[in-house]
Amino acid sequence: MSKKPWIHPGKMIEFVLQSLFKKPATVNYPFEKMKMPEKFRGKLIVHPEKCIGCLICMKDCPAKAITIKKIGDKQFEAEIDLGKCVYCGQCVDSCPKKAIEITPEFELAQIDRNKLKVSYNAKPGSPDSAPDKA
Amino acid sequence: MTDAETIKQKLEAKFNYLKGSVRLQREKRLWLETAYDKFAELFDFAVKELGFSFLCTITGLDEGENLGYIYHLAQPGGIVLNIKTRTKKNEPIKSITAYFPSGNIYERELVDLLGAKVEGLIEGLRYPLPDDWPRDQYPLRKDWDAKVLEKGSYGEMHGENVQMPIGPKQIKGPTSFSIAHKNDVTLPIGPQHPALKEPESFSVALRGEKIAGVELRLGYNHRGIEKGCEQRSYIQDIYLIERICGICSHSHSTAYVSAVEEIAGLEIPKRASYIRTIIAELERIHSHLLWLGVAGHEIGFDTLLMYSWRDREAIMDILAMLTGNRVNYGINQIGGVRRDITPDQVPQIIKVIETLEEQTKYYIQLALEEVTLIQRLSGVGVLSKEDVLRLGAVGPTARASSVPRDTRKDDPYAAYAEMPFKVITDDHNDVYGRTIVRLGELMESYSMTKHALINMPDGPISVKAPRKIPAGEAVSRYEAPRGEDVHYIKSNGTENPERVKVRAPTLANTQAVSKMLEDRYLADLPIVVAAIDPCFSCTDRSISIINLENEHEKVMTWKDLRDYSVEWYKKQGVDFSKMKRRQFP
Amino acid sequence: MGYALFNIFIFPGFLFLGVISLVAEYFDRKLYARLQNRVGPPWFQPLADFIKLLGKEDVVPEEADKKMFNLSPVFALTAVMTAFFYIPLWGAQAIFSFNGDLIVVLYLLTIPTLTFFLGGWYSRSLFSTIGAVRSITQLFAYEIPLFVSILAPAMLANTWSLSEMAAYYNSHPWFWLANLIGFGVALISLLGKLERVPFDIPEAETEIVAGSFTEYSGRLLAYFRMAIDMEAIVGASLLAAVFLPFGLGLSPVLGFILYLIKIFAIIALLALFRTVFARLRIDQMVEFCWKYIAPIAFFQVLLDLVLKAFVIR
Repeated sequence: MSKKPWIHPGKMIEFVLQSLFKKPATVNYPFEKMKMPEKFRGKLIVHPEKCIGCLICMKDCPAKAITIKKIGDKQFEAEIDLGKCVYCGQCVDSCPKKAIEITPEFELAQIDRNKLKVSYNAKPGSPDSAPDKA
Repeated sequence: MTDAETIKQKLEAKFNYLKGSVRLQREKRLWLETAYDKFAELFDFAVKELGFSFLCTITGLDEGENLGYIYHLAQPGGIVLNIKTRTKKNEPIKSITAYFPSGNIYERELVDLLGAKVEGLIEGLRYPLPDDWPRDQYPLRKDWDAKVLEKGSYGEMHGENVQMPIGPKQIKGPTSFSIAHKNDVTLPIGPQHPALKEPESFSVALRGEKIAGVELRLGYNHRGIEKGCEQRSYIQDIYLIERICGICSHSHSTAYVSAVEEIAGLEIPKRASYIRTIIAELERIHSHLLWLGVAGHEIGFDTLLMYSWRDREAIMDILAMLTGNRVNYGINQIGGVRRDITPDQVPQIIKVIETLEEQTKYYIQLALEEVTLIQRLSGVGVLSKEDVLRLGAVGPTARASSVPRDTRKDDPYAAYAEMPFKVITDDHNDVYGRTIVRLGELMESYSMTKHALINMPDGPISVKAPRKIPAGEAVSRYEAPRGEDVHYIKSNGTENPERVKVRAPTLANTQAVSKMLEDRYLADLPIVVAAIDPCFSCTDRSISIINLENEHEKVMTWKDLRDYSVEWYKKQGVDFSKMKRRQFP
Repeated sequence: MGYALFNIFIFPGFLFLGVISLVAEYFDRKLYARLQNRVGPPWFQPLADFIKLLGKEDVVPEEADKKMFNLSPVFALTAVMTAFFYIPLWGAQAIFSFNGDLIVVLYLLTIPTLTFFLGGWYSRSLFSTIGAVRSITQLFAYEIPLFVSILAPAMLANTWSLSEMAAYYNSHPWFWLANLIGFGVALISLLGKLERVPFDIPEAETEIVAGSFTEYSGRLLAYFRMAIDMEAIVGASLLAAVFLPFGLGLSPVLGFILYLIKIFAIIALLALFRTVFARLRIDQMVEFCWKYIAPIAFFQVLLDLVLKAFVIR
């Protein structure tokens, strides 16, 4: 391919005309949704029944987004502020009991900042409640 | 005997007091300490006789009663000589701009952030703190706390120590404006301007359409990361350092983690270094494709922007699949990497890379043959080889002027020592040359990624790292897409680092911009600035006024902000009292 | 009298011109997007932009000359609309015509550029001044080739009136083929007049924010943008009338459709040029126009003179 370059204007013209007949590269969000790969780091969920209250996740979080409170004997409540969280997943790695899980959900926007605080409580005798998000 | 040992012997031979105290911490890193009165002679010897022709950066440290300074010098073979010295807190030091004109900005950083006194520094605009920052507050000192500035609304922060911003006309002394004639028009480009992707301010003195002089003001993107790192643990710092920049996040993260691993004496498994290299090259690919689009947009060729960014999406999707996120990958941890590349992901990646290779070959042809592109990019932003060496430019900016400066070859890290690749240089000396260099590097990155994917050794992906890193210090260098990135870390045996210093490549390149714009047209300014691929997020990291300890949120109301700005402008002599302002509820 | 008023205001006057210039803007933007593998705006986008701008507040800079600032867009719009009446669209007769209306139309089409200059100059803002000066510099470059190349067919037809030119070419079929070189030159000069890439230097977004229009907002900006859109249609119609005067004797409906095809073909070519070229610098543009385009235009005139003297008796 070492022919001398023929310098002329409008070099892109054939390439550009071909695009007329191709489907556009734009995804028509929000009517079409992009699918994120499996291990995408989106929203975090906590399984509070596995939590032992060691607080390593609170120590390692770069954004101080997770708070663990004791609400009973061996019962802990986890609250994550989705607005502060940077979705790095360090808490997932640090937790010795693997109580925190990361999901690929990324459409988390809210108008009210307070609604971004999501809590996971383990009340005695009941499974972890659904995140309280309006 | 390696070159580093030769240098060590020469130093010890010339200066008796250094005998036994020059440390070779690892290959290509020399450390020595000296008192300040003997520093000048030592520095002169190192620069003139030993061939240390490049100043990486100058780190300042607060050591209680004294201020420590570390001068990091490098030579073309990749050996770094770190000269440590110290003075008492109010003692002045001499500027080294006689040897390295690029040292100007590093010394200004010392003056602003640490309160050092540097003699012989030419007068100029402040960096990196804003102009109305009180002159006696030195944020990087250990005894400084952000609480000092928290006094109600921002308007009360001033006190008596405020000096109003120095505009270009008020600077006395040898700056580029001394050549401007009084009939010239001064055009402000920035801090907000459509040509700039991040805020910085160029005051351009214009004579008709020609540029007579440029004054550069940086620091608008300052965020306080260096001080923030000192207050967080090593693990939290990985994520903070990663977020210095979106496009070169892996560069900063890897450089930081390599330095910490060197201090802790950890040897990471081979597979981990290969994975780091693969992600690094993928990052380089997406950064160069981004640059191609930005360059096209700056010269009005939007079609190139659309196509190259469409191709870039393919790489972002691969990175999301491998690491879990499109930017800020979070793949590094101290001791290795967090995720592995599974065998079924490898063919997918290779397929995408091969498609992109075809596309890039087309772009290279386009660059060689499209007339309007060649006309806009040739002869613009000329920087001769001597200027590159004198002003300390790095990365593709330097390589387009035939200077083969590439940290991956000179000072290999991760798996680069085992990978075959060419350093792409070009002799056009202008923006066109930088385009050719970046396109060539894209092709090299494709082949490197494929090679690494195919030849990756098996094994574990990390080793266990302690939480408390023993006392020590290290310097790591990394070839980011924009040039050489230097990190210096000092640890003191606790879980938090003592000092983290980051010198991003764009800071080294901005010094060259004023030279490049001399005697050119205004129309060339956007493309010249875009050609050094400015990443001002990497460059500016200073102190913010949000209190880190007690989560105090300070929200300024619109009224406060407006009142503050009115006060400020009144002091400048602009009175808005005639203007009718709408009353906001 | 009533019919003339209908002609002026509705069809093919102001309303028709307004509607078709919005349609042409949509067509141009959609084609530009599709060529770049994107989706592009929906059909009502130009109308929505126009209405939105009308509803916004006009901010007049304090230092600007209020009269000139406010009047410049109005002048631009008026001049462009007036020029439309003298161009024969799909018959051999324009709404109004007289001998010499070719010169008047060209003059009226120069006025918008002058108003860009005046608007930018009287804004007293740094970016506007640079944009205004660039507008005028560019005017010097493309005006001569444009005028000269339009002159050539007029000379061949022996008249200064557009309508009579159209009648002449209608009665002598195939003569318009001799003017195709001029058509090429005029197309490139039209790119300069409309300030489109590669000649959109006066409004270079990445260099001087928005050139002459930096300080404009609200109603005034809406008028300027409408004036630019209309200028595209008027320019394309002029080119179609002068260089492509075939099929003028067809029935009104077919003639109308042929006219639309001619106009949109020219607009499509302009959109294609926008896609494949980068922006030139002002000195490169002036050099290009004087070195290459102007001589070709003069060559076209020479060709027509030769044809008139020796070939056509």
